[in-house]
Amino acid sequence: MIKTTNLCKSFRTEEVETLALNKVSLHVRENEFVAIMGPSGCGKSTLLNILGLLDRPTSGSYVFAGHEVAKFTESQRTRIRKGNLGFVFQSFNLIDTLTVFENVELPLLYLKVPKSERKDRVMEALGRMKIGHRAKHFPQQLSGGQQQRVAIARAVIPNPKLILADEPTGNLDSKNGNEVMNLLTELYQEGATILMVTHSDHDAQFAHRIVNLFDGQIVTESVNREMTTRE
Amino acid sequence: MLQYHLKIALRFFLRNKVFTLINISGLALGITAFLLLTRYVSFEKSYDQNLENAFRVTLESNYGEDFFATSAANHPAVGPAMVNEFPEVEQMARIVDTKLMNVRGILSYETDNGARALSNLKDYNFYFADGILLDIFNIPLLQGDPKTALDDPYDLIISARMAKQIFGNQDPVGKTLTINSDHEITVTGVFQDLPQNTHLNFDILMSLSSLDFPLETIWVWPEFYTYISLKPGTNPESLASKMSAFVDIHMNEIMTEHGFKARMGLQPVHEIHLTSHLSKEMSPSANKGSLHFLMIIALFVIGIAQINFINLSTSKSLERAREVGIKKVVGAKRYTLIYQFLCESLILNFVGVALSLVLISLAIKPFNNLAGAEILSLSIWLQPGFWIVIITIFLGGGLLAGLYPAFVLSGYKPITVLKGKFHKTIQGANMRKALVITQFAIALALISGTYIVYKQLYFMQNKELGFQADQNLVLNAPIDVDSNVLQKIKVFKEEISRNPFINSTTQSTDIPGKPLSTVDAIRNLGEEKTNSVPLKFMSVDHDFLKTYKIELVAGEDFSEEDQSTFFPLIENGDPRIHPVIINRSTAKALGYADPVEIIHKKIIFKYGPADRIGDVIGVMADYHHQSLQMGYENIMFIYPDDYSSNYLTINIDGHQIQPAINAIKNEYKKLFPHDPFNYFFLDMYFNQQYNAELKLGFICLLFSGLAIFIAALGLFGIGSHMALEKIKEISIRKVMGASTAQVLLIIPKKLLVLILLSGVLIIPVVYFLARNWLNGFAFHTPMNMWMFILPLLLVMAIALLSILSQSIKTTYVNPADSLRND
Repeated sequence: MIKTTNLCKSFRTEEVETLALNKVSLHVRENEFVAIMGPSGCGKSTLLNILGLLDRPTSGSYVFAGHEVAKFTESQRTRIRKGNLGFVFQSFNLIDTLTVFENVELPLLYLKVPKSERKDRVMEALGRMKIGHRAKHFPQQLSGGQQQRVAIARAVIPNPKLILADEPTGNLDSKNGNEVMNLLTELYQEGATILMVTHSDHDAQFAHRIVNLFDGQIVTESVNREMTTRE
Repeated sequence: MLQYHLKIALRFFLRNKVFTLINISGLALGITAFLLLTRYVSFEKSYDQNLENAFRVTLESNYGEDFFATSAANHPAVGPAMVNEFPEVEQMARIVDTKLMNVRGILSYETDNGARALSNLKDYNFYFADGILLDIFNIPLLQGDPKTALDDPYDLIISARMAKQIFGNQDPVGKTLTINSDHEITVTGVFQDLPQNTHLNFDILMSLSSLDFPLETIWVWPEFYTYISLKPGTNPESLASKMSAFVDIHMNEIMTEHGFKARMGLQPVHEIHLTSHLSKEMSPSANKGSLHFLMIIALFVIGIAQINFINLSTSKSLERAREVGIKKVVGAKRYTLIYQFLCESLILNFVGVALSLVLISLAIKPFNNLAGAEILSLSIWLQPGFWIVIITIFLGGGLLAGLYPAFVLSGYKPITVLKGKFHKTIQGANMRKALVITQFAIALALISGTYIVYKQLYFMQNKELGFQADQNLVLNAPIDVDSNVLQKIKVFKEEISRNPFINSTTQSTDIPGKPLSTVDAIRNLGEEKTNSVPLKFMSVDHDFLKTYKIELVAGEDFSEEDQSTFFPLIENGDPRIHPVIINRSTAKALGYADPVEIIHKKIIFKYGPADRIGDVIGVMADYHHQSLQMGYENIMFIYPDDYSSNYLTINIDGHQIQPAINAIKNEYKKLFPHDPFNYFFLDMYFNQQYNAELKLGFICLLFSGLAIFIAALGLFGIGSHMALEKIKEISIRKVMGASTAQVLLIIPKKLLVLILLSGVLIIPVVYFLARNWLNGFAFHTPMNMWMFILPLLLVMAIALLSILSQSIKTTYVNPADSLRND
């Protein structure tokens, strides 16, 4: 599903050029759950943003679902993103002025899904995340865990090919964090491909494969035996 | 999708109540001010607009070498000659003020309830006119025969309003009006009230044939307004080019004889109100400059309101950025977001416009009072033009002001926003600064402008006029008079002078504040007519200088013995010598720099149809006969022994006004029982000349105040945004040990820099415009730097007050809270 070859990303300020990603070559197959780990500033989030088509690499190749997308323009990337990619953020990134229902509905709206179908799908997604009873609430009326479940519902509602999660438990206590990880695992088990950036060894153990980044380079890749065995 | 955007917008507004309230109230006030001002300006521009084909024939005459005075009125023979000689002239009508024809007296009539009412003819706009006038100006005759209503001598038609006022509900046609208890005149028709937007100004018209003169042959009586209508397809310019030959044919002999030159021109009637500022105008014209000024204020006010909207919207970027980022991540295209923000802008503008319609309904009465005309009424709601303006403002404002924030907000890159790096690169900040500077510049210009207008008004109303304006009570001179009137006036003066509260009394044809109507030329005896200088004069008595406290700089004042006889005329040269008093300007114009030298020199002037010889017995200091907008004029006083007075001026003790008035009234009623007793105070009368400036000043004050209020509202909104931006900096500084005072100044300091910058940009512009405006006054207040520094300080103070609460709130924030959030 994802194949990068010698992916580089550099940031340039007036005097300094920082290489955030240095020749990263990564292959993620369909229905894989990959965790990207590494210390602060190692380039994990930069990699995730590029893989999520939120950002462009400086050089190198990125093939997504058979398309070379490294040089795509913003509008081309938007088109691919729509419906194919779901995002989960550390800080949930829900829109305060929208209700839980409307937040989850948002991707379907842009996909021009008919209203009645939208309603069914949103309620179904919320039900799955065990948050259906909160559909009419606004994000700030929910706990952090509930907010992240709404964010996950929003990420999965268009049935994306790939779910990208950036520190999804970073702002949660361990109980809520575990719930979120269990949800992601369920999605993975149902066939989703998941890429997750995390600091947490505990969260990484939910993944199928762990990629370790250091100074913008992949230093180790390991298959999570426990996870594989669990399967 | 639209429904969705509406719902989201509504929710956003409800969550941001202060933002929404500031935006909507600013827009509503701005739109209201804009609509009212443009309404006023378009009313002023609408005068006589339906009269494309009508022209007024104007007259220029020169006295001396270069002096050309253009008069709105012309000789009575001009119109008939034009109809005869120019086939392109379809119709002609003349109209002349009865006051200029010495029609004076008391009008009496039987009222609705059978009682007799008396009034002074002077109080009416009473003209002699050709009946065709109604045709040329499309004034319908509601009663009477339009073809013959003014055909015969003493035919008289009145306006519907006047008919109602005089006769109540009775049928006015056939009713009689009595002038001076001996002339009975029958009303032959009623015409529809003149529209408010016409330069014509009459209530009563009498047939021109009532004047027993061979008007078709008189070429030396420039008091008749002459209007013509042209046949369709006529080029007015080609007709105008024939006027020079026309004048030569008819006036050559007279011009040679009297030593003057004349020119005639055609003035489109629809341009009179805005562009004509001739002598003898029938009604005051509008000042085009003031109208432009009001239009600028209108644009400024609505501009400030729209800038507020732009600034407040972009200052919300921090709060809106995340929404934009997320929407983009889940697949929103940029145009969808632009569409969303434009919807919000349109909704706010819609509410603003709706609210402004409510405000306009409430403002109808005060606005009409201020404008002095029924400009606004509820019928505007039925006018398609009004709605076109409303819809243009709604769409124009909503889209124009909405476009910039929509582009800024929709342009955020999701990655920057969602990673929380957004606050380091506040987009739109420079644009916002530029807009704030623009707002301040506008506010400064308005405050400075208002201050200068008021300063000039104060200057004009308080400058030494050269005569005493206060404590002078003016009465209409008696008009129901017999041959003993001068004797009676003498008795009146003597009797009231016994009263300790009355200082002196004088009679005169004119008073300061009223333009001198007798205009002629004067020259030294023995000089050619071409050396004449223009001159205005009036008849006074020997108490005038004393009553008005006008300083005599050389020679003597009139004494009772200086009365001189002007009539009857003496044929073949009048040997009588008339003592005259001239002002200093006249002495100078005649070549006497030292006024003492002209004493008892002889001069030639014309009074009535004849040249007269004058003996200059005194020179008075120049005084301001009219508003300070005009320079000193050449003025001469004569003291005729016939009765020609229009006014009696009585100098009274300022502390005993009522007893003095009572004493005057008693004596007046005793001696002139048939005359109405009307009086007014000279200072108030004189200051009426400043009504136009006072109105302009008040409108400036009102709308500048409004503009500044709207700007302050916006500032209050932006202040909260600035506080949000600076909260981290302030917290860090506090942690590092900064005092409260030091951090309190961080936000205001930024603002003050912007204000100073706007001052640097706008003050030269205001200086230039103000200098031009002030130069329009012959006497004006000197310009000084305080005219700009005070407004600058005021704007700074208002700006600081608007953001004070936000600054204080930010200063006292707990650093731990704001730093933890980062």
